[in-house]
Amino acid sequence: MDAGGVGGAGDSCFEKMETEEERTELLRDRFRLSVISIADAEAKKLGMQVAEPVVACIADLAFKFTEQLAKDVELFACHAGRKSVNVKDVILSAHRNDHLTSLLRSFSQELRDKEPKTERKRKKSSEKGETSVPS
Amino acid sequence: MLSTLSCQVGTGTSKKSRPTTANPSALRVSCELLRLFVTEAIERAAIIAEAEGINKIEPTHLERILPQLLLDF
Repeated sequence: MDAGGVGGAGDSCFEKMETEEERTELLRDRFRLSVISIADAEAKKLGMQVAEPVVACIADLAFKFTEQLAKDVELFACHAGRKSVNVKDVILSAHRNDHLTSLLRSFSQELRDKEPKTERKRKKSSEKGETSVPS
Repeated sequence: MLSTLSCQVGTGTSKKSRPTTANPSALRVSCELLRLFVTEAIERAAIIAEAEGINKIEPTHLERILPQLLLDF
């Protein structure tokens, strides 16, 4: 790989840059594969064909969107004083579009319903069972 | 993969020693968001192509829907 225009940096810094670029390229390629499969499935569902440059363009756009999303979501978590990104942070990132927000909310609700272990629900049901008769 | 990307973006300018991590559910919801992005792009471009009576989605169709798509997301 060609040495990037990083002047004056030490060898370790340069090496880190190269691996980070390589990592980004690898991620971009893997990401593109996923986007291609989603786009092809959708086009098939609509009974239409998609030109290859269109899919490549959508893949690059989605990658950039993901980078921005990651940055936004990290800022939200940091703003809330957390070190880990939450579902609420992701839903908040879609705040500009009400329809999108409701779609994501219902999706996250579905995920929560599918989860077998919900401690809160257990507490509620145990409270119901334990109705102590006041003497 | 999304977690690696999130970590990458984080280490760029953050002063923290540890990169930011993400909740597994948060990752799944992010995946859904991205899937919706791709799906919406294809569906909107398909509408334009169909209106022209063409069976194949071309770059010109994508061009037409792009501004509104980016505003909506």
